[in-house]
Amino acid sequence: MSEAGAVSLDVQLGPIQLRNPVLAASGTYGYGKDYEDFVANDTIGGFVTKSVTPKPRRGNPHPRVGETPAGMLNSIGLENAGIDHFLAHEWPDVRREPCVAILSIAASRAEEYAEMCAKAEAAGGVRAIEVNLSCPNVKEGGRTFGGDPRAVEDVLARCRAETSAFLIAKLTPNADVVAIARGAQAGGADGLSLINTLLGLGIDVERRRPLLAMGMGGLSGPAVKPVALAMTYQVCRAVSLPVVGMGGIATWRDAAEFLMVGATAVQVGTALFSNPLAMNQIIDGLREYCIREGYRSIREMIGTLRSGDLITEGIRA
Amino acid sequence: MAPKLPIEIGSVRRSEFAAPGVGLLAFRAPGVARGYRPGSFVHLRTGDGLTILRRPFSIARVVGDDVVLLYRIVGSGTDWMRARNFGDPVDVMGPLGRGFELRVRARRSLLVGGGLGIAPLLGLAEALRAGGHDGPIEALLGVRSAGDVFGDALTEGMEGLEWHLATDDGSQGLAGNAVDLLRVRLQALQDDGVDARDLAIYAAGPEPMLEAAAHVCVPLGLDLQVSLEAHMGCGVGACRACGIVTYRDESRINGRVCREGPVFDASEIQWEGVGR
Repeated sequence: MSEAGAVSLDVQLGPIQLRNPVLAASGTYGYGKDYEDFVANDTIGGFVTKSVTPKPRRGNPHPRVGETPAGMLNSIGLENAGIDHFLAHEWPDVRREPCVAILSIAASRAEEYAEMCAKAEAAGGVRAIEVNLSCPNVKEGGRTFGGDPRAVEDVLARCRAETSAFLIAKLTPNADVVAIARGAQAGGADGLSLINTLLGLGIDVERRRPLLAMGMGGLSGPAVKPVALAMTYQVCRAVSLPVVGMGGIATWRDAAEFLMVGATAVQVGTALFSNPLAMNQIIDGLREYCIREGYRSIREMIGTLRSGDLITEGIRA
Repeated sequence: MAPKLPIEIGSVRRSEFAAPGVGLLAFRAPGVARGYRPGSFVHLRTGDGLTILRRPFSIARVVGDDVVLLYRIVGSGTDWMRARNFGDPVDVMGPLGRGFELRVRARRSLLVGGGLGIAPLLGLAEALRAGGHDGPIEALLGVRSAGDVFGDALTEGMEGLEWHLATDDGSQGLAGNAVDLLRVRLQALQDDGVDARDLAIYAAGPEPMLEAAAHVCVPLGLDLQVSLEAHMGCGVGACRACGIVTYRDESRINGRVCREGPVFDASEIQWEGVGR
């Protein structure tokens, strides 16, 4: 049996080594500095930046967040200062963080994604890009293409042509996630992350108005975890790319579930808001679990779900 | 550098009604008490079992190691708060945010509170005195009706505050709101020959009230600081649920109520962009 501390927690996301498989999710960790009073970045696997967009965005009207049982709704509207400002003023600090910093990009047109990849490539030091294909909160110039496998393939192919960074496609759950995953793979994605938030609605019955100023928004938190886990399971079986699982992860057991269905790493998001120590507690819990199981490396637990082949989509029966 | 971990399990000392529908919660939390600055807030985790977000509350006062909050009872989270008893634990992050700048050299301070907005101004008054401010401190409170005036528990041990009251229904004091009261006081002070440049004005309350206060003070060049309220997610600046448009830093686009605020100089806020 391994001694405490003898378990290696590092995992490999393509060419990128993560200290451990626990990352902070985009939009919940700023650019890595906001939680500095709570989290030491040299203890976590990494973080994904708040999504940057081609142009500055002031974000949506308030309220931008609302509560539902075991979850929250948000419609922030991708508030950010734009990629040029980000690369000039934030990235020099972000790239020096003592963990893997993944750049998240979001846009409303395929060409804009590619342009941002080119700018990131030119800035230097961008090792991984998460392509946010699915933010349901932004309506600009027509359809959101995150649900269209061929459009997703097109976005990834254009990004692929502009960057050598590890390209992660972040998938929306508000569509056929397996088909989108295949589209992303066909376009040249190196990895996948899922799930983004589920489209949701909450209403203040006293005021007869939606909780969010924008009406509908993205649901996250423990309420979505079983959905996220099922989709992660399906995608892990359908494609050969490394998968980063997320959706309602708040404890080490949650994280372990995603690893067992085949995710290489996990992201923690909404849980940070109530418990800024969540990532460190998850890392500690995973380490202890590995010790109990006699693993030398946490990689030994990835995809170890027993009877995995027998899981069926019961609702079809 | 090891994180500071401003997160603490407090122990409830008092839980009672301060006015109809308004709770007062006091808990012992030495870490929060030590870090307290007037205008800062705590992000409190309720234990109602359904909700997952913390709630931000301005700190009304700090008395020794005890932190005092005032809150409106509006739902399951605040029902849970109201049901706390002596000795019960409360999980708080904080103190968070940027508080008031203390203008201790001002000749006179006006604290303008719309309803619960009076809360952070009480600790501010104490800090002004402790910091050597020797001019008059006026507390201008606007509430709906005479029955909504807060009980004495809130101001226990506080002296030297000159209270003025406005009620929406005119049942006590001036008929009007806190900003009407501010206008009346500014006029009265002007009539008494007080130079408006010698005033420091601090306001807290609902956003329309703060905007109205800004419209009174900013064009006159008066020194007004406002403490904004906002729906928050993280409370530390990461989620941008509370971003508002400010003039402070063009490049940053928005100010975050939880990080650059909750206290802002009224002149740096682009009011027509707030919350819409």
